[in-house]
Amino acid sequence: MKNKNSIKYLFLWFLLLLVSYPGLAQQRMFSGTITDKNGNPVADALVTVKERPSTKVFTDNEGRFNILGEPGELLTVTTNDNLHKSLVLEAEQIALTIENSDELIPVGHRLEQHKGEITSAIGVVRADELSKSSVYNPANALYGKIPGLTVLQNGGTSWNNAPDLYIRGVETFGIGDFVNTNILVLVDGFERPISSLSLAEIENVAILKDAAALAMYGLRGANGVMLVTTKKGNGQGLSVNAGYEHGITQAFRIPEFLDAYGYASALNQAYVNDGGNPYYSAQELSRFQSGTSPFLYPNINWLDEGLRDFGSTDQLHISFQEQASSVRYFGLMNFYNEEGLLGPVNENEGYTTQINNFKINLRTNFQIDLTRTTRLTANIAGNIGQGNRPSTPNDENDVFEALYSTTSAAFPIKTYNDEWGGTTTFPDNPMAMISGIGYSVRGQNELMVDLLVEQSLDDLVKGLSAEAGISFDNSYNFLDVKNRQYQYQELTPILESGVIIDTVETIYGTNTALEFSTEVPYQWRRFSAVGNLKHVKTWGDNQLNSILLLQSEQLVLTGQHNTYRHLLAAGNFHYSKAGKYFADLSWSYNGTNLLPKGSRAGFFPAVSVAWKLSEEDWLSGSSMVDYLKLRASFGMTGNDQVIQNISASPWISGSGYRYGSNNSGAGGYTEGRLASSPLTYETSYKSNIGIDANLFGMLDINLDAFYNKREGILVQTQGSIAGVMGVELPYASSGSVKNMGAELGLNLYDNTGDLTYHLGGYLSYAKNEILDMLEVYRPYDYLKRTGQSVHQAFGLEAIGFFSNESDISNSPEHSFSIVRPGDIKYKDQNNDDVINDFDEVPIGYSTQNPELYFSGSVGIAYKGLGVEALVQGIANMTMYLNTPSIFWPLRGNNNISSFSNDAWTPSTASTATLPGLTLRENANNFRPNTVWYADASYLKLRSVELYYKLPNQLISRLGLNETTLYVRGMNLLSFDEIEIIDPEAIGLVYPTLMTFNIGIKIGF
Amino acid sequence: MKQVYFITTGKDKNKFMRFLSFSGDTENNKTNNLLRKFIKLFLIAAVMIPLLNSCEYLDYNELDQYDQEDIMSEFSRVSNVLNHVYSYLPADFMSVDGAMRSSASDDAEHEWDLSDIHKFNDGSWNAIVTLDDNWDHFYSGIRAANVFLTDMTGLTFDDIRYNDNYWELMEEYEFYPYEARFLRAFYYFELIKRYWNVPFILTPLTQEEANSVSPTSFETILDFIISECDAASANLPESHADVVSQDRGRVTKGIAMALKARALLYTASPLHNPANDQGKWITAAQAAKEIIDELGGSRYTLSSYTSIVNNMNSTELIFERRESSSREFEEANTAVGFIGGNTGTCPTQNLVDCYEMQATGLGIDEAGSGYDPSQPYVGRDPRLAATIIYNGTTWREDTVEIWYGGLNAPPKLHTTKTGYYLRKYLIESISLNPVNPSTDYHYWVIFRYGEVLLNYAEAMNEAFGPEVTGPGTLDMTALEAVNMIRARASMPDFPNGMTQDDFREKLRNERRVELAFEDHRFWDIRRWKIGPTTTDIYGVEITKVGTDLTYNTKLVETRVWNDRMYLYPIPQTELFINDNLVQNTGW
Repeated sequence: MKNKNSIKYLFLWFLLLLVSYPGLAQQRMFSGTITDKNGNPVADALVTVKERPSTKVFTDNEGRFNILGEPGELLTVTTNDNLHKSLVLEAEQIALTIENSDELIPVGHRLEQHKGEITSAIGVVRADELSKSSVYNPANALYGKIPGLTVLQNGGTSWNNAPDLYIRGVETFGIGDFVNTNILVLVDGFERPISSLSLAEIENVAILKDAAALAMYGLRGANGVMLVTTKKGNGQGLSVNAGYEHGITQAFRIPEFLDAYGYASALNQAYVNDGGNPYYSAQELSRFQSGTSPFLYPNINWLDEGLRDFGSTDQLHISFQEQASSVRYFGLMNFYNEEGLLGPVNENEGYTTQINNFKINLRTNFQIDLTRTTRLTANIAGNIGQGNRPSTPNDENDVFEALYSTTSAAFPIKTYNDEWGGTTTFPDNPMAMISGIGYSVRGQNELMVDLLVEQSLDDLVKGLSAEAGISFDNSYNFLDVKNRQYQYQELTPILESGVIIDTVETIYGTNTALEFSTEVPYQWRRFSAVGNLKHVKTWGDNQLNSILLLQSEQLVLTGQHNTYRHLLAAGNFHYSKAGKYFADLSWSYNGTNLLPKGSRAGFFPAVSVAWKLSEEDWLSGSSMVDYLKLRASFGMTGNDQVIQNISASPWISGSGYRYGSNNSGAGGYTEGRLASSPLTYETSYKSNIGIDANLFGMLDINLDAFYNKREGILVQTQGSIAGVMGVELPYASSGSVKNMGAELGLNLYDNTGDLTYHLGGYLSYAKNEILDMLEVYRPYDYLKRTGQSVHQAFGLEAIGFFSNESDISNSPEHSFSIVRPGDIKYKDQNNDDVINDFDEVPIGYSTQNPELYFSGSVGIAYKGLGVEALVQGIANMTMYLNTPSIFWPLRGNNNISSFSNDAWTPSTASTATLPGLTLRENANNFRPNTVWYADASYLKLRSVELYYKLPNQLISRLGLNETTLYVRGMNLLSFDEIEIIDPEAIGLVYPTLMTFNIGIKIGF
Repeated sequence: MKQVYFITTGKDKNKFMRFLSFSGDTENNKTNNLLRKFIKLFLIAAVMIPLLNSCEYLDYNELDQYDQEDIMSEFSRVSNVLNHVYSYLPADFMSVDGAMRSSASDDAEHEWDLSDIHKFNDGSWNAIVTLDDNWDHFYSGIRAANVFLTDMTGLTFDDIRYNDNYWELMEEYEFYPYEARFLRAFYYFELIKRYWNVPFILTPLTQEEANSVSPTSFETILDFIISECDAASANLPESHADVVSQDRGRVTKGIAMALKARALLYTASPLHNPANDQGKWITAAQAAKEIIDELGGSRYTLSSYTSIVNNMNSTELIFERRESSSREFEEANTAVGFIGGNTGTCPTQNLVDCYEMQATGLGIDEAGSGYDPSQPYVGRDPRLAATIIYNGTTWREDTVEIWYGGLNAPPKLHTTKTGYYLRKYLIESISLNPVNPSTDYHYWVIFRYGEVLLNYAEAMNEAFGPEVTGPGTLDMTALEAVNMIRARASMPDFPNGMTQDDFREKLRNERRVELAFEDHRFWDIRRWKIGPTTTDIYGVEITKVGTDLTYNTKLVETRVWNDRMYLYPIPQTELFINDNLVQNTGW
């Protein structure tokens, strides 16, 4: 390895930092008071002397403490809010003021820095803010909580639904289905899914946004990094916290489908539009309407039948923690149970088919001071989950696909013979799928273990310490299937002059007993080893913190080509002068097994500076500006999410030929895709400037602006390599995207007497543009993807609906399929008198992520009573309404919803907003165009909470510490243009939920 | 000095911990201190250095694909590489967006309006909206051949040397290079007949080379094709059935000779021979005659007309594209009205009118031909019934009804536009019934002996006239050659004493009839430069009153012709990348 030498030099550099051995002096008693910015005492803060970590004292209610120490030793104070301050012991009376900028913020690799000193762009949300949500997956508590973080909700059950996460939008694109926009999520410094945790064990979540923060993550950092830090023990003596919450869940929106009469009428309209005769006679229509023949002409509201109005959740957690003299620990048990929305689930003896999700999370975090200079960290966490559902082939969404797609007129739930209803066209009886096909149990067992030893080497070299550790995680998932088949009966009326004279009964399928099978759909294992050296050196009013770290990681997923390895060497120098001027130099050298030798590793440096103006003499006295800091950074980071195994040219099976008198097939071999070379990681050049300020002690302002440029994105080369090449063309690492934007955070807070309030908002803006993608030849400029956003919506511009045949013949030829009156008429963009692919233009915005993401929060409390609310929204995003049954009606034997009420008919031609109903494939109508592209913007009321903190006089008599009762609503409202369904989950999936919770939190 | 360093509750301290904590119980022992410093640094290094020393750690991968060496190491794999070269052989079953290329000639009209095939006919194709765009396809075949010829010839496969069949395999392997060279030449012919001057590539290219190649002239590439055919015919057997593997379907001597004959005929034709150089016609005649002399009557004989296509055992068959078992072609071309039928290729009245009267050998519009417009299909050249389904044909035990209101006719949607359905190449025994569907093998005729005779007749007539022999081997007249075709079709001979022009007209008619729907007409229109005469497309409208049928010819379509269409446009995507390429005139 070529760079081994450079790392050795760095190592030597550390040795050169060796300075004199510290002198020793006599111990004395120091006493002091700790107050906050406003002069209020800070109680229960930990005071310790760094040189003697066993000496731990806590401040009393007046903020006072007494501690033994020696002059010249370092006194450190840590509050329960993670504020942290150090002071060299000199005078015996100490008055220490600790303020918000003394907060310790995670900066990556399990390191922390004072907020006031940070030179990079990092956003944080802490536990008290997160705990205002009631969620299963902690990622769903992050909506609108951190500027720069985009969280997009998805449908599906709690078990499956993980939101899409983007940091500062996206600045890359994959090839085909290959996704390379994943952010890196780390829990306590190691890569892990955040969904493996429960919300109650999280201390804070930070996102790293600029190069200065990301450079130490090398070729995994370019999409941004999310740091999740779990809780450690805090406070004096054992404290126990418990919380219980009961929730009632309800589908946020369920689309409304037409009843049998409405469906039958719509079907007739479609037949007429297609040039045929109505399918149902007037008599038949009236039978649907009157319900006189419920078995032959049924009218079933499947969603009413299949779903119940409310589901429920229960969540209980108990945690205990302490910061004792030599042990600091945090322990947690969290129980979660959710009962889903299915209705008739108890039809079978011995089992239920309700969708259910039960999970226990466990965690013990220990920090043990083995010796004066040695600390062991042992974090052990795990979860055991189990869930139930009807035994549908894929997942719970199968049931919902059937519920949504089966028309009201399709068949009765059960026929008069007590057989499931069904037809060859609609073989899936939604009710049979809920209660007639058995059940499946899926489970997950996960264990995550970190072991770290930190050794202070102060005695050896002043300020030096070393750390080494490993982490090992594994996750095992199983699926126990107990499936049976059901038989169903089709009833076909025999009509004579419209009168039902007989009924043909046909049985399909058979009823079988439960059949058992078990599989392991996936599992994963991770192993990491880390080691680092840290050094702190202070001279005059200068301080230099240095770190050198090494890390190796391995992730093994199920199956082949699923082993991911990384080696990382990284370092950081953090220099501060006089508490005003700060500079960081970060770097990493990082390699991966996903890339070929020679281009698999890269060097990623970043520099950043900050100037804390509020420490300058000319501003420190200002009554207006309490805190003001300017930041700037520039540097590089990378992304190694590339398609695997494309760096060599393989030979693959290709078409063969046939020979011989039997015409038997003979195999073929051919060159596969040519080697993509040089194949390397994406490099992102990121620059950032920022302002952090606090005005009047009551207004926090945070403003960041960034300009990033990503290079080396893997692209297809059809646009740059001639077809005479005669072989599948390689990919090239030559795409580039620029991404720019800004984040603004405002938070106003104050308290006057018993009244406290806060009012805040975040606004994140990120706009990307494809600079180069080796685009294929396109005859018109407006067709070019280059210059547009990643995933920019493209489609045809609808200019109305054809009113009649002469309208069709007088219009440009619509070449996708035969058009009829009621079909969409398009604008001929290139005036060639033909409507084809060349008439597609950019429409709206990207379909992948919004350019604007914003939130607002408000909270008011009077004495113990308070209310909290959070709204969050997005703008500048486009969505493609192509979900069958909900948006695309009838065609392919699909259902029709009220969305299609405005479909074209000859009599409503002037007001119609949708094309005429049709049963044809109709490639003219059903393709990306302005009719189906919609504005994806929404504004949602994410949470509202009313709480009451019981008065101290009352609870202290009960031996309690702090007790809060609350009611909370989640996802209550949405303002958007989609209306029929949640704009964040438009698929045929388990709906997104609105929840009403009532809960209690107790501390003792 | 007294210090309490340990706060752990405990008792006896582990010695190692004491050591780590640097508890200093031996005061002022500097040597000891230094030693400990050193050991501590060593410990740190022990943690850090292994991490660095593990570059191999990143070499891990789970690659399991063959590289070229792996392929070359085994005979069966090398053999499969050649099989892949064969896989680029064309067939015109549904070659242009579900339609036959014939539907872009005056032989047929495609039923489905949305098929791209109509862009040939309405003139809306160009370098951006390309049609039948086989540029990449044939260059892929050429690359496959180039790679084979560059790296996979002359191997010895030593590890199977002592296998029983080693020498047999090696004998077969001797042929491989010539098969590959022929296929490459064949693909070049497919390219130049479309695009005229094209990049001429005989080695696997690099990306840079591919992006900067210049076109080579039609003539140069044609000379190459001829010399490759000569090499192949000199070294390949007449039939592989006589050799070890008994692999019928592989390239043989006769196939190479047939390509040579066809290529030379194209070169001599008006499109490529504007000065009408007689020498070119003579060369073309000689190439055809070589086959007739060497293989005609022995290896190849004319068989029954109805047993040529989809029959790999036909004695007339020289080379075929073999297909896997399927029914797509039947589904696409069976008449609507029959189960599973979708109507596709609709033969035109133009083509039907070309079938002469069997009794007289005269065209239907010639005096005394015996044609009865009220019974238009009676007494016609038997090849009509073998090629086209017309009203009254029996098809799968049903009678086809093409009169207005009939089973297979308007006003029923998507019945024939022209009044005819395709017969040739459809396998009648294939069931399209969804209850018991079946499939069968299709064999697309690439070369057959009948074409060789027609090629010879055409070249001889152009070089010498209908009834004149030529020098040397050219001892058979054009008339004698075409009459062999006529005799096989049970049609009267061509009359004696025709002028060269009259003979040309009648021969072209004969070629059109004989080779209908075998992908010749589309190309013949181009090489004869008769495009403007093929624009009016006719069909028949049949009305039935009682049992009386009335046939009325109707104009189905007026097509657009532009002389630039004699050649294809080179795809704009290709010109965009390589500006050394030259677009064909008019595009």
